[in-house]
Amino acid sequence: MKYLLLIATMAASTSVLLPMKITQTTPKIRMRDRDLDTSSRPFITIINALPTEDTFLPNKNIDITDGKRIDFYKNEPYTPDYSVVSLLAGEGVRFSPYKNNTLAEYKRLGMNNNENAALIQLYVHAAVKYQLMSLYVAFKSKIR
Amino acid sequence: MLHSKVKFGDTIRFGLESDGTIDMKHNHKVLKTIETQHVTKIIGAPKDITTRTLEPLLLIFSNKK
Repeated sequence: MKYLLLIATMAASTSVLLPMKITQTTPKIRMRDRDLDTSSRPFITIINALPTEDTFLPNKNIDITDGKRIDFYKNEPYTPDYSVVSLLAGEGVRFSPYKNNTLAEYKRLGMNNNENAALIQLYVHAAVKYQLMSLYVAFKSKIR
Repeated sequence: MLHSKVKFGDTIRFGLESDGTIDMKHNHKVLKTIETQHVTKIIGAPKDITTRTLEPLLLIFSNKK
């Protein structure tokens, strides 16, 4: 009888805990599109699914850019410019990367010359170190 | 050399894990684990507070074919 009671208690506690866990890991996402006028343009979706309620994270923003390189700021503090999309917690963005023709391909972010790949940078404010990440997005096949 | 598995049309999702880290997921697979300022408390350990140190994952890919 003791064991039955124990099992019943455990089952009840897990049934209470499970919905809490699901709601914590799947916050409601507010999507917004940037420069996505046609569905034929290649695009990528970035979602900041960090919880919107107050947690221990001091700053839950994630900045995304396909314009000026964030690592340009070596001797000065990073300040986002016009090309940066700042995602708050519970927000997502779907965008088509720019093709910047004024800079050489290896110096710039955004689409490459062939328009089959793009380099974007992400800045995660909540990270302790290595806040800046570069992400290479390719078209269809894997690129080495 | 690493392959770029992220294609146009894909979704990258940043989510908070139970251990206090941020996981960057692509197609439900973790691309990178990001260390945060969260401190994990371990009951019964000699020191009850510990910090996580994780190696960074290289995410800069070459575009050579």
